[in-house]
Formats: sequence, C-alpha cells, structure tokens
Amino acid sequence: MLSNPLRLLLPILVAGMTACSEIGPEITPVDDYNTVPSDTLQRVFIEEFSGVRCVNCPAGSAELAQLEALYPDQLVIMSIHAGFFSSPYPENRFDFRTGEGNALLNLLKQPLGYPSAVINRRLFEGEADLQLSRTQWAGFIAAELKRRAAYNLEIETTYLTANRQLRVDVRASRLDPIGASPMDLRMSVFLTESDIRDVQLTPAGKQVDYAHQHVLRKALTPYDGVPVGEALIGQSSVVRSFSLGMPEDWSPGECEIVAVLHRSGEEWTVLQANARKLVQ
Amino acid sequence: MSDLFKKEGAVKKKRLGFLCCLLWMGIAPVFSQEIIPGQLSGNLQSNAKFFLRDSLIGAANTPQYDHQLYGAEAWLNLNYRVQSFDAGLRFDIFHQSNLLNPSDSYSAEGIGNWFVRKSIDKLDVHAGYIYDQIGSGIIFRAYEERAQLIDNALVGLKLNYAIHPDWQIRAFTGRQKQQFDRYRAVIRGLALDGFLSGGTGRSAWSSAPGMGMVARTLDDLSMNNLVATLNTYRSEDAFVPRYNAYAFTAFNTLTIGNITWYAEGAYKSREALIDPYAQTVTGADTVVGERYVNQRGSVLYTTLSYSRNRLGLTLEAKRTEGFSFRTRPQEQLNRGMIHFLPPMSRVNTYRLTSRYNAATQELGEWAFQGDMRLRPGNKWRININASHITRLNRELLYGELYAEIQYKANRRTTISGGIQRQQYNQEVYETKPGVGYVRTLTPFAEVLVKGKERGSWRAEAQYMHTGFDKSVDARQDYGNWMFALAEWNVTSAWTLSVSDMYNVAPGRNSPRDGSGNTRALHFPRADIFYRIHTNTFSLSYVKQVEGVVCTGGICRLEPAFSGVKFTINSSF
Repeated sequence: MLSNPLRLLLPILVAGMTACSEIGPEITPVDDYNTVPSDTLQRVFIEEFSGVRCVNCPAGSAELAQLEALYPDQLVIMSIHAGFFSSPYPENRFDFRTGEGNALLNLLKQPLGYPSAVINRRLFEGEADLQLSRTQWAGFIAAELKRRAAYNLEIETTYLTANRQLRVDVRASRLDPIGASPMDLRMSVFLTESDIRDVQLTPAGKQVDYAHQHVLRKALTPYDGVPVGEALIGQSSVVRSFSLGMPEDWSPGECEIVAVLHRSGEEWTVLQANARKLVQ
Repeated sequence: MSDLFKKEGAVKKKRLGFLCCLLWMGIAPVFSQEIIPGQLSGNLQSNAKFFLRDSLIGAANTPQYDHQLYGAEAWLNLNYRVQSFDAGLRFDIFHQSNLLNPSDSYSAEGIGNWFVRKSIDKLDVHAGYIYDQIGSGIIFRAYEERAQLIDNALVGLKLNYAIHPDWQIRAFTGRQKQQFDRYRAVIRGLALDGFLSGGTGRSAWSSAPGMGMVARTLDDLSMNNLVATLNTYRSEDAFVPRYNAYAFTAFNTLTIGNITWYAEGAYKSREALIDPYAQTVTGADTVVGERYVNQRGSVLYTTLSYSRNRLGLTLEAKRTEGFSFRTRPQEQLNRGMIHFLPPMSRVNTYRLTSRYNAATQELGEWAFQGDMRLRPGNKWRININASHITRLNRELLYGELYAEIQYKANRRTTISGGIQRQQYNQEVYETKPGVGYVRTLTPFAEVLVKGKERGSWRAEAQYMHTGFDKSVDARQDYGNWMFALAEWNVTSAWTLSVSDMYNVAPGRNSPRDGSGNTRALHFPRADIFYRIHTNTFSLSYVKQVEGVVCTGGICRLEPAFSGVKFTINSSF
C-alpha cells in the first residue's frame, strides 16, 4: 500500500522524534542543606495577594514560610488581602482589606487565580503578567536573589508604648557611588502584622484560629510611594521619616515595617526592600 | 529599553514585509501572464461591553466596573484563495477586555493569525498559524474558542503528504501562541491518517485508522524555574524533571452498517505536572495544595453509535489518568494546553440546565455517557441522556439524567418539555470546601409558534429546585431559580427577546444584605437582533449571575456581569 521510500519514512520519523535519552538538570532537595547562604545585600519583595475566602491561600502562605526559612533575611513578604476572595466572613474579627491593598491590586493587575504573588514587581521574561502562580514563586525568587544590589535600605523605628505613637526613619543609599539613580525612583513604606488569629477558609473548611502572617495593615506613604530619585542626585543617601498612631487592636510585637525602593511610571520594578520588627 | 523596542519594531516590520511578499506570491499570478481569478472571503466578529456596576450581584471591583466602564473585542478574518494557494490573515483587537482574565483588563491589538498554504503535487505546505488536531484531540488540538479566549494555535510549519489516495501523513513543528507572543517550548508532531473499506450491501464496512505522536521540549527559562521550585522540595517530593515529554495515540473509526465505533488510546511519558490536591509535609504540618509531581498519563476513550430510521443511540466511556499536557508545566486553567480532552456530559442549552457543568478532570476520572434519540412518529421526538463521572477511586463528581420530549402539534406549533436531574460536586469543580454536592431537579418547557405568514413566537419556562443543606440550614449554592423567556421573531430580520432569572429561594451562596440575610434577586436580560444579508447586529442589556462557564470540557469561574453588550457579526 505504501510506496517503498515512504514505508521506511514513518518509523524513521518516529524514532527521530523520540530518540536519545536526555541529560536532565541537577536537583538538590531542600533537606540536603539548611539554608541558602547570603552573599549579597539584595532582598526580594514579595506581594502575596490573598483573601480569607481563598481556599488555596494557606498553601501559598505555607510555601512563602518555607521559602523564608530557605532564604533567611533575604525575603520581604507582604500579604495583601484584596480582590475576589477577600471580603470577610461575618465571623471574622478583622476586615483585612485596605484601600492601599485595593490600589496595589489595581496597579499590579488582577491575577487569574489565587494565591498569586508579584515578585519585585518585575515582568519576567516569558511571562504575560506580573502576577505569578504559586508554583512559579521559588524559581523567580532564586533568579532575583542573583541580582547585584544597587541600593541599600535601612529602617529605624521608635515606638512609644504610652501613646502608641510610631516613628519610622528609612535611609536609602546608593551602593555604587558613581552610579546615577533613576529620576522615577520612589520609596514605599508599609506596616504589616503577623500571627493574627482569625477565620480563614482552608481545604478542611473554615479554620477559626488560622495564623495570618505578614498582613498589610497600613501604608505609611501613598500606595505608590514618595519620590526620592531627585533627592539622590549628587547625594549618596536620602532619609525619609514617617509617623503613625497605632490602633488598639494591632499588636506592636507582631508588627513589621516594610520599606521598598522601586521605580514608577511605565514600570514599577523593585530595586531593593527591607523589613524590620517594630519592637526588637 | 528603547533599543529593545526598536529591535522589536524592526522585527515586526520584517514580519509584515515577509507577509506582503507571501501574499504577493499568491496574488501575482493575477497580474502576470494571465488573469486567474482569486477568491476573497472573510468574517468579522466584534463585541462591545458597557459595564454597569452592581456590587449586590458581585459585578464590581474590576477595572471595567470601577473606572474603565467599557471593553471590546474584535476579530477580522480575511482569506484569499487562488488555484492551489491559500493565504489568511486575522486582525485581533482587545480593548479593556475581560475575556483573558474575567477579573482584569487586557488591551492589545495586532495580527492574531496568518498563514500561507500551497499544494505542490501530493505535498501540502502550511506555514504560519496552524489550527489542527490529531484524532479526537487527546494528544494534540490547536484550536480557538473565543468565549474563553482560548487560542492555542501553533506558530510554525505543517507538511501534509498524500502517500496514497486514502492515506496521508502529517508532520508539524512550532511554538504555541501566547496572545500576540509565543511560548518558548517547541512542539512537534507526526500523524498518520487512513481510510479502508470493504464489503458490499449490508456487509459494507469502512475503517478510518490513525496514529500520532506529539513531543514537547521545555525551554531553558521554564526548566530553570521548575528546577528552582523543585530545589525547595524535600527529597521525598523532589524529582529530576525531563525537558522532553512525548504523547502517543492510536485511534480508529469503524463503521459497519448502522453501527459506528470510535476508539482511541493515548499515552503520555512521565513529566512534571501540577497536582492541585497534593499533600506536602512542611515541618509538623501537612499542607494540601499545588505541588509538582512526576507522572505519566493515559487516556482511553471510546464511543459507540447506532442509528437506524427513527432511533439513534450513543454510548461513550473515557478513562483519564495524569493527562495534563501543556506547553510548560507552570501553565494552569485554560492556558498553554496542547491537547483537548472531550467532555463527557451533555452540552445543555437552556439557561438553568446549563448552570452546572462538569469540567474535564485531567488528573483522573472515569466518565460514561449514554444518549438515546427516538422519533416514534412524525410528531414526536424524544431525547434521553445520562452521564456519570467519577474520580478514579469512584467518588462521584457529576451525575446527570436528562429527558426531553418534543411534540409538533401542527405545522405552526411545536411544544417541548422535559426534566433534568443533576448531582454536581461543587467542592471539586469550584474548590469550595465543605459544600459537597449540589443536587438539582430542573423541569423545563418551551413553546414555538410560527406566524401564519411570517415571524414566530417562542417562550421558555424553567425551574431549578436545589437540595437543602442541613449543616448550614440553607439551600445549596444559590438555592432555587426560576427562569422565563419570551422571544418574538418579528420578521426574518428582527428578533426581540426578554428574559428573567429569579433567585426565588436563595441559598447559602446567594448575595446578602447589610444584616446578613440572603436576598432574592432578579437577573433580567433583554436582546434585540437585526439581520440584514450576512450582517447580524445585537444589542443586549444583561444582568448575569456568576457561574462556571464551560466550552467543551474546559471551564472557568466567570464573575457576575451587569451592563450592555453590542455585537456585530458579518461574513463575506
């Protein structure tokens, strides 16, 4: 039925498509070592989008906790409750939604599904969105940690227990003294709180004492930051100060100040981030 | 950055130049030597949406409702044919569109599809965007489904060679389309399709056998990302991923007399894929959620049909295990799919009977379906359908019983009615823990009356009764629904339609007022259609409840919609 040359063609083509075993990549599971050693000042800013009605978000938070343990002091995590699954249940103690969180979601675009995270607000090669699904986080975090830090961020906090007044000083420094800072450079400062016990939907149902971590409570700057690019012209560093009266139901011992240095306008890429506990 | 844009611009100009050359190659014979008339055809599909915020039904908190207020999509398709040469071009527009991501806004425009095709003796050469499938699509289907903005065209080259009048071999290589870009993984495939026949009279038979294979090579970026993720796994979960994944299929359609039997078996080699229900131990906790697993896959699919005079019978069965085949393992939902798993539940058309759909479970399911169509007389038509879908461990996912009877009272009046019973595992299909099954009973009726001279009237009524969930003292999901529709085909050109879907007995997930009480809401809709020649215009006011929208076996959760839609469809 088949002409002679073609009688041979099919098996050759099939063999050609499947031939040869491949050399696979090297895998080093996490239990082969404790942590990834840090030889850089570069930290990675992770904006995790979550919600108390998001059944898969606890798995996302667990993944971030694992990555935090893997890269100690190198990840700056902020969990933003905004979007489709974030409206609280009647039995929730807190409404974790914030105006700044909603604004950040609009800025960084809605994810296709939750949990989702934006890593250093970078549009990675081959990706169509800033929002990344959970299985992509570890890879892009590892890639971002390989970048050379161009800036440093130092945070000083002063908290007065008596009147619950908080003062935050953030110093942004250029690590390359002759390098020029982009004019669109901005600084954003946020306050997050961890270990908040409240209702969360999980695969086993509603968990009333779920420990919410790194929850965005308040932005100390506008959600899109304050300009610092111009101030860094001819200067190696710039300091910005902020103050806040802490509401009664926030626990200072669990609060953290998150500072981020990022671009603005067409792209919002984060160049450096840092976090510091309110009470050391 | 600007250099990059310049380079991209230069590349685009080159592509356009290349396209023009190819089109000229096709058109050139018209102007040189002798006049050979070509044939130009095409079509336009365009939608415009005006969003009206309604936070009560959940039509809110997206850019379109908050500040954009408008969104549009359009596809203009042009095809040119002369002798054995074909060329096509499609211009796509997405402006503040919510098709790509129902919660977000997407704006882009450009060439969404182009191709040139030339037959040279027995060889058919196709370059550009390729839409094709092998068998029923289980290992490869490049297709377009605009309702969910699925456009899985392969950008590359396809060769088709007729090795015999009834036998042809196809080979292709390409990369999958990603909106106006391309994924990086390379996909190649090979297929052999044939036709055999024999016998005469009642013993006549025919067979259409085929086989195919598809291979995908992961790009370095995707592999690096995958490896970095696997490096965070414990050794019991980690594995060495493979760059190459292979899928094979063999299929045959056998027809003997009134019986047609289709059977297909497919196998996919071991590769990294996401298990959304994986249990991962992290310290003292066990987390249930997405994790990469290294799994091989298989699908067995068969359908047996019998058709004679007034009786039509179809039986289908499918077993799926670990058969997620994507351009890269990071892709989820309806993105990056190389293949298509045929759905195994009835494609319902009535508003309430189509509210709950069974999305194909790639990682494992058993699915059975039976369908019987009877015409006991010239006036009666009966359709009975049953489907039963379970996990591989036999846990029920979806069950449906459907019966419809149609009676043609006279030349002008047709009455139909029926009932549908569904069991829908909402916990699995919509990832809503603790909600269990939604059980529905939905009677429906339709009357169509044709006018004496022109025009017609059509009316529909449906009622969905849902089960009661004692654990929350409320009806399941949104509770009970009523739906009524009246449609008037004024002339062959004009059609008017009004309908309302009313949440007559709200359930546990129905919208609530400020005091936490569920609210019984109306979801009205009004449409005007105007048809002239090959142009159709429609204007609709729509309030639509959130739900899972499925196309074939692919489903996604669609938020509620509130607003006005305007569409123009045209062909030439």
